[in-house]
Amino acid sequence: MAMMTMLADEDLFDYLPDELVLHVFKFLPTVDVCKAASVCRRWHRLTGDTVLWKYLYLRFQEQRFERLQAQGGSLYAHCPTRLSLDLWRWRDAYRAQFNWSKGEFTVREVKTPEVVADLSVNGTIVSTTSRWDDALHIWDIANAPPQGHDRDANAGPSMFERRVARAKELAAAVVSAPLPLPDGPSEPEDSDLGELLSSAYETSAMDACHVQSVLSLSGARSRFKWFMFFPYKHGSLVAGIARTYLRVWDMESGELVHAFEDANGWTAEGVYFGSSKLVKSSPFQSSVKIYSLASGEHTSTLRLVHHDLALNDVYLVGASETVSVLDLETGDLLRSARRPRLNASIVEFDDERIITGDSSGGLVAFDMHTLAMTVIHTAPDFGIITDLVFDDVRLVVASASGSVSVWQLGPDYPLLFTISIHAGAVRRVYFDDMKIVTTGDESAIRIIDFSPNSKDDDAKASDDAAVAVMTGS
Amino acid sequence: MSGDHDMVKLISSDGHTIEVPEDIVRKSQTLQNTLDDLAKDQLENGIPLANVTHAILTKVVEWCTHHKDDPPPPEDDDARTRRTDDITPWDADFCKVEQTVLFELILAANYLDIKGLLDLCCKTVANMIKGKSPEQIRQTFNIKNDFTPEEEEQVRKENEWCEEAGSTGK
Repeated sequence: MAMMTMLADEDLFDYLPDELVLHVFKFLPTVDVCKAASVCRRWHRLTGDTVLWKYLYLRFQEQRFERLQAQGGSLYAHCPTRLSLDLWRWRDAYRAQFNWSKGEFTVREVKTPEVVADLSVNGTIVSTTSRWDDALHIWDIANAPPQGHDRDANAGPSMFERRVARAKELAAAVVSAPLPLPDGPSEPEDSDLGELLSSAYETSAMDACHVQSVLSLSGARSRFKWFMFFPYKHGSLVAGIARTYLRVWDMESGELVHAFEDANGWTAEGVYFGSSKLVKSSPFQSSVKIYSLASGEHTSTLRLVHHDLALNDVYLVGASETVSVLDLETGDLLRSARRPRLNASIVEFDDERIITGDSSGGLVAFDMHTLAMTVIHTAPDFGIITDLVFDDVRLVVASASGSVSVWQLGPDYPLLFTISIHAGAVRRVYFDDMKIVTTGDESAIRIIDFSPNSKDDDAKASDDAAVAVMTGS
Repeated sequence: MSGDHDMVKLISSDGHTIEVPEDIVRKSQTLQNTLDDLAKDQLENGIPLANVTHAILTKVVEWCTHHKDDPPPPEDDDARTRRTDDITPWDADFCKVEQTVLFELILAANYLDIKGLLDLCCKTVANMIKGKSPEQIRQTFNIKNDFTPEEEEQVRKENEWCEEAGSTGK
């Protein structure tokens, strides 16, 4: 006889090990996987399997990933964190996609000591520069509380407010400490500053404050209006722009590596491109300068008249009444189109399209190759467009009226939703598959969170905060 | 004369021996490894398969014989290979068997490491689950509902979002 005889009236799945049941589930449409969860306890457990959901998510996003791969992009470029793919909540990521289209989200908030000038986001780590001090703040927004949840507390300052006060104190201390200038004669004791920084880091980490660290960049002095991180050789560098400067620091040590100074005109924006070059634009001089990171030398200048520019490592796109595409290497004008009523003040582009925003709230998309124009939005009620970002699926636009609007990319560009997020203007906006991160004229980073469990988490976070206040007093 | 050396003896768990051409046997990754690891004379007495009955082994050999000229299946677990509507009429016919046979085929295909057959049988089971309510699924496979009513309601709520997801196509 066989070692095992299956009988027609028993649960045949009992004979299959988990891995084989999961193999069957992989062939199901997602909606059936969800229904299967209700069948019995074992199926409930198995339908929650992370690897299964990673697979379902990638299948759901398949066309998108194929397109990205065809463009040479990374399959995982849109995942919230690239470090722990197998630990990531794939089911939540899947659900978040639907929350975008339904406009379902929770607004979270991190209060900052000062108004944020620029931000950079990588997963849950947000780096900010502030308008009034020289420090670069690095925040972990993973557990940011919902917006305004501590405002109802009438029993003295909440734990969160005390944390913010402490962060302000630390930030003030960092600012008031004499900064070591690279060639200045009066270098302070490094140890003082080092201690201060490490105490800022430790205190904030222990206090569960959202400030992860405060990096003081030597010789920053001027207020950044733009900055970016990029890998270089074995470490990473941060480049910042203020007034007429473009300066580059080592991320580890905070040491100034290069200072590209330009007496002629204010610098609007910079970009790191290729493996060794930095670009900065000076719209008042109608010029774009390219610098070599290796030599620290200015290598070339491109001239063009535009309100705003955007660059990647191949092209430079400018927009005002005209949209122009230049080859960044040679400086050749590849194509341009004149649109009389276009008065673009901001421009972004990728391999497929260029999108411009203007001061009367108009949004226009151009085909990157033919420059054929599509009007996305014209209504003047929208206010001045202050920032816009898009990926291969969505367009997120910030306005001076304090709102953020999201459009679906495609032939018709349907508007998904608009949310009023800041009391003043929204200045910077960033997004990935799970969230939109904004800063405005308030001392706060706001996070529009599409992850499905945020509501439950909020309830828990509030409870925790309540407990913290009670035990703290 | 037609080459006894090309035939491999397989012994099922219920003691039956069948002779199968070597190229068919090699459709099984597990048996391919056995063939490569053992010397000719060690194969004389046949390869015992402790987990596969004669009835199932016959079905497996039938499938492998029909698919002997297929290209090897892709290694990667790519999403594109995960379609359930690409079953050929021959394969669909092959899978028109008792549920118990289908499940035993899954175990055998897994044990013998025959990816194409494993995928086919799992797809067939998935097609039996597709579009059914949880209660219909339980009836189809004799699965006992071991949830309390409260738990069942909670699980249903947990997964409500997917109903909308289903309406958008995927």
